[in-house]
Amino acid sequence: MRLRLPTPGRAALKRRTLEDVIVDAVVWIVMIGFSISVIYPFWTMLIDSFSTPENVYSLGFRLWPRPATIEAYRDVLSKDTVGIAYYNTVLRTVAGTLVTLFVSFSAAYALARRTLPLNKTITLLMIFTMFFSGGLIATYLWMGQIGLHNNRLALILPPAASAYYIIIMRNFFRAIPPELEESAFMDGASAYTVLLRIIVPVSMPVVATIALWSAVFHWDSWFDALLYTPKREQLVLQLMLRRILIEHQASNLFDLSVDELESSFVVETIKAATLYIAIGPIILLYPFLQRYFVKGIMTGSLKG
Amino acid sequence: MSEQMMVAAEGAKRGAGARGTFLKEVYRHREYLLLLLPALVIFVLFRYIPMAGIVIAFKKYTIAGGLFGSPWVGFTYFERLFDSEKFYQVLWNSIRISFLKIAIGFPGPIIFALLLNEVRQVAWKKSFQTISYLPHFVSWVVVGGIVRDVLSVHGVVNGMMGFFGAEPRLFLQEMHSFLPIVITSMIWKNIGWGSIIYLAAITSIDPDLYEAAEIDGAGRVRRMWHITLPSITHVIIILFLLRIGNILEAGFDQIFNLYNPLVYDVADIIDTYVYREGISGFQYSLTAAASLFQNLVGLMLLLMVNVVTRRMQADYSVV
Repeated sequence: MRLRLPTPGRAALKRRTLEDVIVDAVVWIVMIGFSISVIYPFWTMLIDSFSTPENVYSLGFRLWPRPATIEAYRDVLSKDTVGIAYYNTVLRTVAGTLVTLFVSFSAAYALARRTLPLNKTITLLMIFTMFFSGGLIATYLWMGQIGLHNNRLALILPPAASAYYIIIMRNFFRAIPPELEESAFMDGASAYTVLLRIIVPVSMPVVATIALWSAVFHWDSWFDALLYTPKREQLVLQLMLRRILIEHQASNLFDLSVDELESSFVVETIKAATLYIAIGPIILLYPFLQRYFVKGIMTGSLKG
Repeated sequence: MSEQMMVAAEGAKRGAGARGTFLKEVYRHREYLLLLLPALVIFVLFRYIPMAGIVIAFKKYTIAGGLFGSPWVGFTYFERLFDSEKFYQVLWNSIRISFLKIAIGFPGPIIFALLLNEVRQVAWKKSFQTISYLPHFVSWVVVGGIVRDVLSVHGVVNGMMGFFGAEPRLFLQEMHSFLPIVITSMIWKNIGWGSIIYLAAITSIDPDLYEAAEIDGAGRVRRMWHITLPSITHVIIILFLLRIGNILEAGFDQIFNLYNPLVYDVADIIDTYVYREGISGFQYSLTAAASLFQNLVGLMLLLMVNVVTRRMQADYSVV
């Protein structure tokens, strides 16, 4: 029987040297080892969340929950706090991303005009904010003075204009062929018409990237919430998670009954379920959206 | 009219003309400037006014006076800061953690990219990549929770060590294991995502180079060392210099979600100190002084780094 070779037949014909074998062994051991180190902790947490409290610690290495139960999820989802935190997180993510897109997109479009007065100065002043800031204390006190303590706007407005996002978008706009706009201007269109009718449609790739970055940023943010919206009715998921996972306050936060508190295992399954309720959307979505995230890194990082 | 006056008049006319054109330009671009306005307002309100608010480090903060109306006290808080042992401890911890992160953590994504590049099966390569991104997409709160779970008395690490007969330990409460935990968890979270940029640089290498090297009898290790690595050196240098510029930032989110009072001696960094003593402890002016010190040193380092990069090659500089 004839061997059918892949097109660069020469390489395939060549014998694998000892070096090839060793390199492959190292590469595969590292890659599989690292992948397990990533998946295993997430997997055990997932198993815990589907376990009965008595079973959480029973098996050293857990690969499958036995018996499987959705008790912990039912328990967690029945708490008001989770609903409130979910609502607040979705609210800040949607509103925050929309505001960020609006503010950054329009600023980037303006700065893409090289003829704009003070263009260079404004850009430099923007970039400067990436490297120097008033620091935590001055920012925190100022936010209080303008009434943004215990105010959801404190989570949405400050990140809306980011020098990094604006520069990535500006670079994208500058790469659009000018002829596209010129014909519209000749027909007497205003800057806004051109922006909406011509620029927005061709900018979907960069908009998708920035929207996703911004959405993940908002979903994962917790420190600004700790500073500005720590109260229960404004609680966000990450802060709730921090209270449960790091500060061990599940009992206060969820008003657990005395019975539930007696067994610390209940707290463990509840912790795991809460974790998955908070990170579930991200874990489910990122494998399908990763190329948009990655694309932004390529266009943005080296041109800063 | 004397010659002097003529020159002066000429100058004035030119000045007015320039101002005229500037205003004309502003008017011509009014639509664009309006588009820029929301971003400008945000930058002024949330970046530049707080920057001016740094003056609080030179004032005694009062609620009535606020950031700008409180009475001046000069360098009082700086003197107090530089007299306190705590400040030197958190400064040293910041530098040490950051240095270790650079020394041990920086090569991580480079090595990861080189190794991943050796995986020939596209489906596996993609899978490894996707898995490696996972920790990037969750917050340090989540990673903190996972680290606690893995290192808990019932966790997998104690489980494995128990298999060899070791007593369970509380790693996060031991001073000598805290730094290794910080470095490891940082690498774990960032190695996949950090390798993207190197992988992108690797894919742009001319495949002819590899073929030529292969014909010359270079094995895979030598091709990696003599072709892949030199081809991405420029990317490595830029990212390294950028990282050096941030040496006083040891990673607030991470430390804050991992540390506890038992390990403050090695774990407390400037940022956590500022949060705890400043926001929770109401020592606004003192900690603002620490913040300002950190920011100034950071800015100086960055400017120095930028000068170096500019000298090396104009394309590399950031600002």
